[in-house]
Amino acid sequence: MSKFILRRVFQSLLLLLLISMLLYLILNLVPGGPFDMLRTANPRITTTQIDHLNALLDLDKPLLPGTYCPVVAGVKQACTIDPGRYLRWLAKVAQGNFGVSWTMKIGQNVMSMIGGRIGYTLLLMGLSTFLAIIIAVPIGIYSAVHQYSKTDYIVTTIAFFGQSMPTFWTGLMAISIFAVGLNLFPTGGVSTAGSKGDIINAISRILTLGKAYPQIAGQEGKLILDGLLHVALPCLVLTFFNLAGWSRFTRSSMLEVLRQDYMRTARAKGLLERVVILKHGLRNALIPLVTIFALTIPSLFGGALITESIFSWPGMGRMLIEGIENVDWPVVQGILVITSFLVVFSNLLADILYAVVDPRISYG
Amino acid sequence: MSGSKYWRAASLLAVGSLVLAACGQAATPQVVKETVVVNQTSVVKATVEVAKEVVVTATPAPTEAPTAVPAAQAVDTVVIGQQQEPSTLHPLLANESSAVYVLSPVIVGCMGQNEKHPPEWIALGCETVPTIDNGGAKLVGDGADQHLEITYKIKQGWRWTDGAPVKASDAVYAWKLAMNPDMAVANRTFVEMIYSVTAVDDSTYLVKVMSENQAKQAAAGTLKGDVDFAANKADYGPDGLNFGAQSGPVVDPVYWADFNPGWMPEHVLGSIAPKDQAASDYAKKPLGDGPFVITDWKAGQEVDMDASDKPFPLGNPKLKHIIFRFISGGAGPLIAALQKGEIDVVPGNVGGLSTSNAPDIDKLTADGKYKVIWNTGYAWEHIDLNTSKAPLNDPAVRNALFYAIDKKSYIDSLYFGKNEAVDLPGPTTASNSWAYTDNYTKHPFDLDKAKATLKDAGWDCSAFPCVKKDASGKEIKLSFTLMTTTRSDRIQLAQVIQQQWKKIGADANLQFLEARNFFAIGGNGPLSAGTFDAGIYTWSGGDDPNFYALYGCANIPTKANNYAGQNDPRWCNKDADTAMKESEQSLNTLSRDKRKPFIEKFFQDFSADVPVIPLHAATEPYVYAAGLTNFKPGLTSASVMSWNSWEWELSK
Repeated sequence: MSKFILRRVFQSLLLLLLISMLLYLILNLVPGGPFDMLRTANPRITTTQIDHLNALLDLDKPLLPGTYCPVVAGVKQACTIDPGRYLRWLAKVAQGNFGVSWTMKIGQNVMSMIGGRIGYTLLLMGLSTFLAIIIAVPIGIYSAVHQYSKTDYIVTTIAFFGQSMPTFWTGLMAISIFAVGLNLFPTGGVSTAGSKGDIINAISRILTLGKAYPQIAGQEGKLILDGLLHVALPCLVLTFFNLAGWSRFTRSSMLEVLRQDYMRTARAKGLLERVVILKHGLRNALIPLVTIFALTIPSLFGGALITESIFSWPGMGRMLIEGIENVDWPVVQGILVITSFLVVFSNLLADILYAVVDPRISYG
Repeated sequence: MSGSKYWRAASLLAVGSLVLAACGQAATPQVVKETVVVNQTSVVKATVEVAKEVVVTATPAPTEAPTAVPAAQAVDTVVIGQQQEPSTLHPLLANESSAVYVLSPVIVGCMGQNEKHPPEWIALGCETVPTIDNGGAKLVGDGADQHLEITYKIKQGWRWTDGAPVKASDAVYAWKLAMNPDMAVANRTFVEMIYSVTAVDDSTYLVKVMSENQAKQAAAGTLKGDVDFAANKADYGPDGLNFGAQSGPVVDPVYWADFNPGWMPEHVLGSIAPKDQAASDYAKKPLGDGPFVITDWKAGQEVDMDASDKPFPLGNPKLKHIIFRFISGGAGPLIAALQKGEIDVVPGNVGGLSTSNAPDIDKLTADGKYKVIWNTGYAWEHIDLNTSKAPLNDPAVRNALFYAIDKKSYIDSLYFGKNEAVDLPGPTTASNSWAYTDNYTKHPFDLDKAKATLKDAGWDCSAFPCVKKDASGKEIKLSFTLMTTTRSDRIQLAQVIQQQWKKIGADANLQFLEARNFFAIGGNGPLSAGTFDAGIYTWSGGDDPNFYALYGCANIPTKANNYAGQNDPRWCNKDADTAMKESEQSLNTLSRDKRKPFIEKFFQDFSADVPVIPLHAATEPYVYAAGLTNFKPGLTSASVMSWNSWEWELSK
């Protein structure tokens, strides 16, 4: 097993290197730079001024190793060999530095921008994934045990409906019905306008200062409740979207297990049906679900691009979209590299977990 | 119910849901003939008389709010919803409108513009707007050393919100900071034209703009002064300001504003190296001189500001808080937030609303909870025609294409009648610019005239498309590409124009590019490289005519000049070129009366040659709570909707 893990880790690192190169090159080969649009708002801006702005971001340097002939104060300098922007970026990434934002938050460190948003994504995605699982698994079990029943058809239809509808539509419908129509929830955001802090700040403060300063718990409680009210709608939309997948996985996995001989044996022993289904059936049916859960880890960090935008949720998904719209490649590169890392290693984790939970599986 | 019947019912339900989803609001174009704010009242004790806003529409709409309303309470917080979040709040580095909007209650500065049509310059932090007429500016010296000097006097008592006085040295610092090559200043054009900024005393600073000699020295990299001019030498060269060919002193039509470097708090920023300022706390919570102070910027969420505890010389703010809340996801969530009363103001296009949201806005304002001001600003949509390529190198073709466009029709159908058709670049109209003149070639919609123009020029339009033999006898077709970006309203506009041109035998093939590809500079995009035939996009102009950068002969981007310049139509008319220079770059520039005949000459040549077809000026909806008084959004970046935030009052 350890040999397998080492081999996979090595393969994963090579794969990540290739992904990083493709990402960087494809993004930076797109025509147009971050400042080309300035001319529409300011027709008097000159090409040299845009060149200067690009030079401040090292965009005048070659992409790959090659010759670099700098121009200083309008005078061409002696040419030198430059390692290229990609290798310089890779060296920084290896130290955990994704550079600074070009246009979204000028001059700000990309890692600190990601750090500032990751908590909101984890909250939204973690909550919706958790809710999807705890709702979908019982639905899947029931559907499997009562296969082809009326209830099976109804819940299957509802689940497929949720997955088929685009999230921007369900999001807007949720806002229209539950926020505006029924006035149950806010239309978006993380907290009420003007709040001193939000749910993520509150949770951080509780975790760090809570023991020493128990009296702050009252204030944080209000922020947490406010935050839960704000996360409810986007969470509902994402839960609805993910319900189908989880319930269908559980259903088909349970159906596989229900047909096994040991299930007949358990019944023959006189065990209660509930014990047969939950103890003997579900445990074995959950094996593939554990590995599927490992594969959803990247989405916990990557966020939901559309849902976060519709609900103005300041997560990673929304930041990615804004980075693309604003030609802020350091931000886009940072998010995509982290997501790629998580995808590659969550696949490895899934393979390892599969072997751990199922003793029948072993890797050479 | 049997299994098959169940599936049929479920399928019908699913299809029905899809149909409902697909059926959005049927957008019925409404011809809004006039929106006039008839009367605006302020809070009188505990009662509020809701203002009448007369909206004449083609569909029935309530035009009068109920006169008897429950007593409204004063509210101390205004929440402004806008789609775009600033990239920074450092005044020198911020280059987008969203930042200007957020900064305007915090940073007021020397002067600004009001909400009038056309807007007027007014002194805010300065005692007066210094002009040649009032003695605040003058030409000094002779010959090639003659230069413009402008004296700015800071108002007594003008302060930073930490209590420190705004001093003349802060203006000197601001100029030097803007000229520092380590600062990624997007808009350095005018500060580079300044030779020096000196503090005459604590509250007076003198700006000396470059003379002809100084300009040429700057281009040669030999100019010495209080800043390192040589570091910005490229900007003075032929690919930039072209100061090597400068004739006469450097001037500008709006010299009083453009040559004002502004002021920055030296006592705060002086200790932060220019290259570190972008990442500093100042870029998130800048110290300003305005009525409000930024207290928090929650990234991706909102910027909170409180009324300053230091007295504001123009009047202490009536509100205690202003919150700019960033709402993404398009117009839908914005309108939902308005419907729910979560936000009080949505400011025009920066806010995220446009003319395409007119039906929703009409519904919002119908019950009197909100009002709307439709402001036609200086963003003008137009079609650039490449005058260097056949068949658009034929002035007759360009004139015919202009006659064939029915602007009223597409404005009514695509923009609910809100946008304003324009004929002159700028856009220059009677209501928005002092420079407007009626003496130019007009192109009213006239298909017969369009066809006749083509026929007279030798085009045979008996078949589609029209054909003509060129000088060498080769047949050319009236067929070309019409390009624009992938923005949905532009796509629709291009499609409408394509159909209109079809009627006169012009075959326009549509092509849509991502904005960054369309506008790519340095010869990488079709406009810059000159590979386009016709292109639709927007320029942001102003209330003062400024056309040389766009249509001067020296500003045609070519391979020889590294594609510097913005004259994408490649239009070079010597008479118009001379007129623009006289209006914008000679001593005539300093007097509107002297400029006017040259501006008129430029308009005459431009409208006769038609290198560009001006289409319409964008009208923006400023939606605001009915109880918000003194809300006066202007038309320019110097008069954004929050320019007079200290006067705002809100009651609900």
